[in-house]
Amino acid sequence: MKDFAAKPLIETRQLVKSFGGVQATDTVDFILKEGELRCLIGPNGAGKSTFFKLLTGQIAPTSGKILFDGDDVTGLSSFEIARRGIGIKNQKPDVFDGLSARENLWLAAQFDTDKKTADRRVEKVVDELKLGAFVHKLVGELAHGQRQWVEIGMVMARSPRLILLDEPSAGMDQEERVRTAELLKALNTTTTIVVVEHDMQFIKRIADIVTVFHRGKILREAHVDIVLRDPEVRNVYLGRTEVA
Amino acid sequence: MVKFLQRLQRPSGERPGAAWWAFIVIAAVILALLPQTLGLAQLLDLSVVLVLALLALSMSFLWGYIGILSFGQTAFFGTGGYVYAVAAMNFDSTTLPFLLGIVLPMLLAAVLGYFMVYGKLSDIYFSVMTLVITLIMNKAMRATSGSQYVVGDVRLNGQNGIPGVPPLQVPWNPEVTLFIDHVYYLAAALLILVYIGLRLLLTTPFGRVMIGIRENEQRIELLGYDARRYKLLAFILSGALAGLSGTMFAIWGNFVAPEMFGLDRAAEVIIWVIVGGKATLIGPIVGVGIIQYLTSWLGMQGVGQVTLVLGVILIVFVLAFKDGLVPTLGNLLLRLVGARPEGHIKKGSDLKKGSDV
Amino acid sequence: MLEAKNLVSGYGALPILHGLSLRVDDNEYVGILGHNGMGKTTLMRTLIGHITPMSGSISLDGAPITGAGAHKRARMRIGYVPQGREIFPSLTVRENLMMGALSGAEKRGGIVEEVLADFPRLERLLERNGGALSGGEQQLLAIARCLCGRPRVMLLDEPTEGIQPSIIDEIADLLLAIRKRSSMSIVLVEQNLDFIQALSDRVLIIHRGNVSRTLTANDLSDPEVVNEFVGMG
Ligand SMILES: Nc1ncnc2c1ncn2[C@@H]1O[C@H](COP(=O)(O)OP(=O)(O)OP(=O)(O)O)[C@@H](O)[C@H]1O
Ligand SMILES: Nc1ncnc2c1ncn2[C@@H]1O[C@H](COP(=O)(O)OP(=O)(O)OP(=O)(O)O)[C@@H](O)[C@H]1O
Ligand SMILES: [Mg+2]
Ligand SMILES: [Mg+2]
Repeated sequence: MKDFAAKPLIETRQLVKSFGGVQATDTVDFILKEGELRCLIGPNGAGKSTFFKLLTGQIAPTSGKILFDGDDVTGLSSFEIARRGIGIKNQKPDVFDGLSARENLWLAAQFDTDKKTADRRVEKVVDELKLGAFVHKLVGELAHGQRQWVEIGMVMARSPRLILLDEPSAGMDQEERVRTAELLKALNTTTTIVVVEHDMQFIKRIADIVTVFHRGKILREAHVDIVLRDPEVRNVYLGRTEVA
Repeated sequence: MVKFLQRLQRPSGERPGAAWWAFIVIAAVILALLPQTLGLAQLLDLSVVLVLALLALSMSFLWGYIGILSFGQTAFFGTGGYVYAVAAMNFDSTTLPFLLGIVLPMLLAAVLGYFMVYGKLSDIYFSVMTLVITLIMNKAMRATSGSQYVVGDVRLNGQNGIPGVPPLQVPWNPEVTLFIDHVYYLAAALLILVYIGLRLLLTTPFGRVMIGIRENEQRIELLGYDARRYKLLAFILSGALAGLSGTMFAIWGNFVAPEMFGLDRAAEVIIWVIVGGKATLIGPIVGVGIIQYLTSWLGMQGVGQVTLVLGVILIVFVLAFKDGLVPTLGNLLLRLVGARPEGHIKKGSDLKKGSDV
Repeated sequence: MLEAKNLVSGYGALPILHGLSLRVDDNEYVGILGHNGMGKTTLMRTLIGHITPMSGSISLDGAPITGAGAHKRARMRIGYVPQGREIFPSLTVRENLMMGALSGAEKRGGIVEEVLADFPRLERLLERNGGALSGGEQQLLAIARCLCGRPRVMLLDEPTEGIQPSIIDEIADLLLAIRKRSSMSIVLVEQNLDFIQALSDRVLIIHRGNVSRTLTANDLSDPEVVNEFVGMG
């Protein structure tokens, strides 16, 4: 299915981010090959969202390097990184509240193209994600889960090379989580994806290799079945939750 | 109709419909016919409302569309007026001075805007900086009463301003200069054109990205747009508009003075926009009309404390019509016709509503 | 103790809830399940007083509170953990907790320390700004802050969102312990089936702004019943 050349699409070298005394990201060496669907898990405050923000230029690293497709992108501003083809859904819904869902998608779609193509992209996303019921509504007036869908739609409308999703299933009902998982697997045939999630059912549906963050560092990186049985991962993260 | 009223509440990138164009045509016809019924003095009063409405638009465009509150509009307004005055008194023709009255404030906006936007000033510091610039220019202009302050043949005259600013000539026929009613027509035409232009701007990708910046600047950047570039361009455009207004003001009154840069004027612009409703384009125009006529009416009634009364009015408006007159009235009408008013947006975003009328 | 009758509520002229009724007894934990956009948050916001219902009534211990504002209901010790957390971003964690305590007497009485004992993970974050916390830390803070008001009824809107699995279990344990040692009641909106199952005495299924069915705790342990409702279109 995935017939990409196995070269790293994104790579970090000794990446560090500290907020005052807090080392949110601590000398992280992370490599992601083109075509992967990688899951990131780890305790609350482990530094997952911070890591995503570093990758997308929303915050600048204290030290270390970020390479995208072989180019050094450390310190570039977020719009430049977005142009190179990284799309992100942040953890908190990050949308245009005063605009309709369609206008939200349109802003995402039209960036590098003409009006017609943008309109077509928007319709495609509306179809694929089944947003028809509320696409005309103001996003600020949508239910939480519906806002999440709009944001995922915005990321998709840009057709980036790398998609970062910070807790996509939050606020979704069980049925939608299944749908999201299927969607991600389908998307993964053309796009490299990294997903942060706390829902282990969801992880098990989509995951292959899982990276575990703990206290800003990578604690484990292995196949999902191995990781979820790892005693240390259980200890700091899963607790007694049955996942196997 | 319902759709039209809803538009009064919220921004839209859709092309304006027939109702909107009909509204423009009716407004244009009324403006064109008014001189038939009004005396010269009344026409003069109405003209200045139209001229100042341009200034109000320059602010509401920045504030309502992209979310930048600039107190610097009066700086560009004053610059436009002074540039026209000085140039027109130095040159034979007034065509070039008219254009300079727009272009120089625009350049000024470009330079100042560049440093403020790319210097990553936060929104509040941006507002404060523009205020400081206005104050400095006002002070500087007041200090030019000495005879050494001459541009070409023209003395700047400090506090006293420059009287006898030449009237505008017809570009292709410099013998003919514009009289009061002509100035009125020119102002009306400019206002309508600018209004249409700003409204149509919203339907362009540029306009929609601007609205996006107001709603969520971070998200705009994450989609790959360089928000700073858009902010700078918007600031430059609004500087040009304010300059145009100042130029027309100098032509209208044949006079420029440092008050054009003054704090009072800066405050007035904000009052117009707030009273009328910053999220709309028509609101500020209405705001200018109301406040201007109210001011002169109060003056005629012999109310000494006009400023005080205006202050009270502002407070009443802010409390009673949170979004300004036009959006509130639109909402009221919507309720009357039984439709659902727009605008029940979740926490935090109700400050950010905009519209396209 | 908390009772809502025939609630019609929504935004503008458009009702989202169509005559919904709900009753929570002393010390009862009631779960609410429903698909996206079915009106769960609208119900919570109506119960806490952010939205005034168009018709219907809400009462607490028999006394009508339909018209009372949100702050009044807070004083009556109805606690609310909203979807989206709404912590104060520029206040520290400690200050956020203080804001949750209703009266000065309570603050001095050490309610914050008491709650912190149940939330050891917040201890080392006490001086950090609320806005600097990670998503899960914020959610934890929102729950803790609500408990600082010593609520008689807690309205929880998807409280486990963003929280790691082991802490979700700890919170379930904590809420069960609180049920034992006090008479607090809970209305719990949740998508996490294990969590809602662990806590709820009854689960109401909300569909298109109304209660379409009530499930007992037993029903919930039957995977078939659950599937039927979770899969319901
Ligand atoms: N601006 C900041 N100032 C200080 N500390 C911060 C700041 N931003 C994040 N932190 C801290 O850095 C740590 C990592 O936060 P991050 O949001 O990356 O965690 P996370 O892994 O995404 O957690 P969660 O699963 O809860 O979302 C947290 O302990 C957080 O409190
Ligand atoms: N502020 C608002 N103005 C207008 N309509 C709204 C507003 N908030 C929500 N709605 C609409 O009301 C309906 C119910 O929303 P609500 O937030 O109650 O859903 P929910 O059941 O909590 O969904 P979720 O599981 O996604 O949180 C949705 O269709 C939504 O679009
Ligand atoms: Mg996070
Ligand atoms: Mg909800």
